[in-house]
Amino acid sequence: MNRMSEQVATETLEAVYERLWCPMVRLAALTTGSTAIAEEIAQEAFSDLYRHWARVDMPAAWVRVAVINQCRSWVRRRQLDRRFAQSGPLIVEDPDGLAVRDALRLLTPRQRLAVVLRYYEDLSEKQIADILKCRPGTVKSLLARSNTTLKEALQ
Amino acid sequence: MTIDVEHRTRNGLSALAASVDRIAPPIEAVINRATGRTRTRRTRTLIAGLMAVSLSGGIAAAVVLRNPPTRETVMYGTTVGGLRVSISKFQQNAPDRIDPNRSHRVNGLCIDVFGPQGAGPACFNDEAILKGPQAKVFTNNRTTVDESAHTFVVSFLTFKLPNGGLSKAAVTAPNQPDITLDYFVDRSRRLVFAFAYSDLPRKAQLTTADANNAVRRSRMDVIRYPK
Repeated sequence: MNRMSEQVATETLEAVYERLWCPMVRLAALTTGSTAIAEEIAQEAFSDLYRHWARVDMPAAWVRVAVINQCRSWVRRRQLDRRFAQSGPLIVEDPDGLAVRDALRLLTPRQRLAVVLRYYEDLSEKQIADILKCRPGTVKSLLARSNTTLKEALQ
Repeated sequence: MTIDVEHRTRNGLSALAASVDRIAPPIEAVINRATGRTRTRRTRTLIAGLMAVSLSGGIAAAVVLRNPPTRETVMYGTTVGGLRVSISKFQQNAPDRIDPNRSHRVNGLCIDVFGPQGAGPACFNDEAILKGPQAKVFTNNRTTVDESAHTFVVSFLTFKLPNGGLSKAAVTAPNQPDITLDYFVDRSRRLVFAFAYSDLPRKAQLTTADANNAVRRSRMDVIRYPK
């Protein structure tokens, strides 16, 4: 079961915004490793949602894909960002959180995205494939390689 | 992946996610952004306040942006901006507001103009005080030109804003004077503040007048935000 279950389409933009703001920031933070960038990405995604609101049937799924796409764009721009600004890492006290935070850094951006969608968002491989615009087999491969890296890092 | 590693991964991701607890900015900010009242992400700046700090009794000027979630505006100043907040007050209050372990949602530029005697360790002390996650200190020792002239210390805080950000910033270490800090633009992409900052002859030196103008111009934006 996804953490963000879809609600009826009659929900207002403001309600969607209030309900999904924090989950979207979290999703982006896990993917990018920075809360500041995550908030930026979330707000951009909600801006897009506002522009496309009339055509969006499932706002939660829509905005999640928008956040993921923004995260992927951010990865492409990251070199530039690194030149001009450094972002603080996620601060967490939980030992598992610390270990996973460090382990995620060992993954490629695509692997990280797959791991976050699989183990945080609880999406199926097919759903991840739809979001990443690749085949399910590619997702399996991404996850398998990620798991190998994570296993080494976490054990 | 063994169950244990998968379990730890899930737990770790949940713990990481739980550590991110952010207050949503007002939805008007999203709507403004979506409707084009703000332009491209990287060339927007909301300037909501001023921060002017002179640690050595000299001249200081700065710009600090409003903290969008709380609408908190941090304003400090010295005689340059017409504000009358002493450095001691800044020192008392700033640590609460500028915590190097937090991602502050402020965006600003602090310029402190030191006399020749204040250009040494004091600069680095200042850095510690002003330091945020992305704070940098720039120095440009004008004594290479004129022994009696001031040394400039510029702290450039490049914090992200959901509604804007600094367009450009040169980041370098202290005592590397070949720096160019390009420009700030506001939400309408109007130039708020620009200067070139280097020892190179073709680039202008930052002057007190520049700092003063930056402060005055920036204050205009305080009134306009968020509408």
